Amino acid sequence: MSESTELLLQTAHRIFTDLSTVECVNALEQGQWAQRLWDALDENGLTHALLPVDSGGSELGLADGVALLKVAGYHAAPIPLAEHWLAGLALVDAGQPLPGGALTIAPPDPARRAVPGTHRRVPWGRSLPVVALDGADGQRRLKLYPRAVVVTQNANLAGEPRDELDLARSEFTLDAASSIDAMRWLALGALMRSAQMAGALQRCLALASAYALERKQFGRPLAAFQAIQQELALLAGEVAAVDAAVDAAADAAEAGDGLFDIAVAKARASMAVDAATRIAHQVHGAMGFTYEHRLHHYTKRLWSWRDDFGTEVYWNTLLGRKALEVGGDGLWPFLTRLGSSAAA
Amino acid sequence: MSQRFLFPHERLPEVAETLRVEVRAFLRDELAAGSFVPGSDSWMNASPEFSRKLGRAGWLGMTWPKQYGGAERSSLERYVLTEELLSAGAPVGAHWISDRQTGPMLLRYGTEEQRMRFMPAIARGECYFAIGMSEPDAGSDLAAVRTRADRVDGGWRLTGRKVWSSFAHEAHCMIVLCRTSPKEENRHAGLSQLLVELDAPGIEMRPILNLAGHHHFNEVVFDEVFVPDTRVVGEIGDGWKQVVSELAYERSGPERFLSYYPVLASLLGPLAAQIGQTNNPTQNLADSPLTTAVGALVTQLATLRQMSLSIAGRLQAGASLEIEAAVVKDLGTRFERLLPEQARLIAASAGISLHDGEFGRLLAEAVLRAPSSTLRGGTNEILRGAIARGLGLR
Ligand SMILES: Cc1cc2nc3c(=O)[nH]c(=O)nc-3n(C[C@H](O)[C@H](O)[C@H](O)COP(=O)(O)OP(=O)(O)OC[C@H]3O[C@@H](n4cnc5c(N)ncnc54)[C@H](O)[C@@H]3O)c2cc1C
Repeated sequence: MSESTELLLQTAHRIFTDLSTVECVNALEQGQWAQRLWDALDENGLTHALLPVDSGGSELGLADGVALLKVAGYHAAPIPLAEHWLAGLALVDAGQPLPGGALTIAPPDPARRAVPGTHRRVPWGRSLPVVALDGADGQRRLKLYPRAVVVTQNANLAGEPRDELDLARSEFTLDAASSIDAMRWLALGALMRSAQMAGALQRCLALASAYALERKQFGRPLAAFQAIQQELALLAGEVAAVDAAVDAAADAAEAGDGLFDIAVAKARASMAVDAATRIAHQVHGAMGFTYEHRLHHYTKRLWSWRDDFGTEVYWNTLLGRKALEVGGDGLWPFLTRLGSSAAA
Repeated sequence: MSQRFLFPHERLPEVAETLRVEVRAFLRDELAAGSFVPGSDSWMNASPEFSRKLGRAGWLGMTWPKQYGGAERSSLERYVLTEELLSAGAPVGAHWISDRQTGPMLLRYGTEEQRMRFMPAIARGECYFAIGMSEPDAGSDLAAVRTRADRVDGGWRLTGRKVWSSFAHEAHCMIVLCRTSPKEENRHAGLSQLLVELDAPGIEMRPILNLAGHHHFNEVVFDEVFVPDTRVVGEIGDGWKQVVSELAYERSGPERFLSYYPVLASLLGPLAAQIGQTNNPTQNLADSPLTTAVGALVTQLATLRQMSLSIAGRLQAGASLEIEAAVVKDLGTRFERLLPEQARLIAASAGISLHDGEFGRLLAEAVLRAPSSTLRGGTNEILRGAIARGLGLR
């Protein structure tokens, strides 16, 4: 990691610590947009970090971007940073300028060809301009809808907006050829969401460890009980596994396509959620089941994020199909190409 | 954010990938020549002949300095060699301990004479070591060892009993952890490591059959065995520190998650055939939960491999990573318990026989060996205790 990235991460950490507060994250659940947080990130160049310099960015690689999203996840940042980056990358790829302010995307669906029609579960669709990929008639068109028609306002388990939009009835101000296809877009989304999940998992471990040291029962801190130690060690294993899978995928995606590495990362991250959140909650007792305690900011996000950009079932099926295609003799060569610069 | 449980990505260098191609060609030839039958848990299968072949290829002790028989190659190259051998189910048990543990230990703590005497022979695949740590009353609680060495003229007189010594009956030497001064307040003090040649007078060895009825490990009894001063490894009294420092190497390698890989590989052929036979479009096996279940194994395997590689890369750079290694071994060996069971369920669901062919053979072997995965080299409960310490909980 370069020194400038290190610095950027420190800046991010500081901004999130100051502004992604309990109140701010709770306010999102009441429908409040975290303007101060967004502005602070914007002023420090973090909202455009992944974009080329001439688009106002600092041309951060995917691996560094992933490191930044881990920090965002660690602080349950109540803003669509990943979605904004995905939108920005697609616009830049299509040679288009970025409108000012935060952007979101209509989550890509490789199985679906046309954009027109309703799109469900669009992050912050009610309030942000939507970038969507239109794959109708085998073309790839990128469209920008400044104010999409909202059918219903919904939210995920963490209270992050997930709205149903009718793009057929919405006006677009941009219609440009794009070289990114839906699968690549989905994969990039999966990678970014996995990074946020890695950060949220880290925080679950940090919270649970701290709580176990501080809470006393039977005259001893919970941490003194072997049953608690064993559970937290299992949680640490899940956290570590996700971190490793995400880092490998980020590197592979930066060097090339990295589709299968990303499949591993998103699947592994989603697979970790059940055990990790179960342990984190169990260690926290009733306190962790309250609205007052912060733990739910992370666990609710993890329960939601595991479904975004493909569940573990989606990505494991992709990997399983690949395994069956390459067969018993081909599986090992396939596995050893993962995480390397050679295309899998 | 804590840096403790992070596993930065380690990309393999070009030379390692070049080596991979050579190793694959070697394994193809050996398989074609019938020199081995791929096995589950093949680092528990010993073939001195196969070990000597690896030695001749320059693949044993390959990271050691040339003057000790090594090839001065990187630990990432060794990593690639190891994962290729294990995934192919090759019989690497004879030299496993000496190449993985003894050589590096002598390099770090041994005398020049010890290195010259043993390392080149290890690198040729001709000299095998056993581990003499466990005793009837010292398992997880290793510091409870009672085997004792008393000071005598020119050396030590060793008395005690070691158990579970893998392949001691095929080994030439054993590194024995013993007490060289009485137990004090600090239980870890007063322990030492002695290099014992197993043909010395006063040693008695008895097989202990494992649950499959195979002679894998042994009971080794030492009755006033003379061990010269020249066979003390490292410093007298430093035994505990020396043992602990080896753990990162011993615990994070690919043998902690690849032991039953051949079961998975052998399942894919029959599974693809079953899927091909299913013409009923409403019953599309390719997108069935079985395909997903195979994918879930691939996901876990690929992740463990990245974790293990991350440690290998950082160990090379001299980092101290015992806790991270414990994480890999805990996750990896739990995966090793899972893999054969999942493969069995997938096969049964697809109508593949559990008892025939290559798959049936490897599965049966795996089921009988899997219980050892979460015991050998430190149990998972003990590993998780170490992880908890790393978390600052104890
Ligand atoms: C196939 C195989 C090969 C081996 N090869 C060798 C060898 O070559 N050389 C050698 O020296 N040893 C060898 N061993 C021994 C191995 O190192 C021990 O089995 C291991 O350290 C555990 O010790 P134990 O079997 O005495 O179990 P115990 O220590 O008696 O443990 C039994 C159970 O209790 C649990 N337990 C123990 N203490 C605690 C605690 N404090 N907290 C929670 N749970 C606890 C353990 O996790 C385990 O589940 C081998 C073992 C196997 C299975």
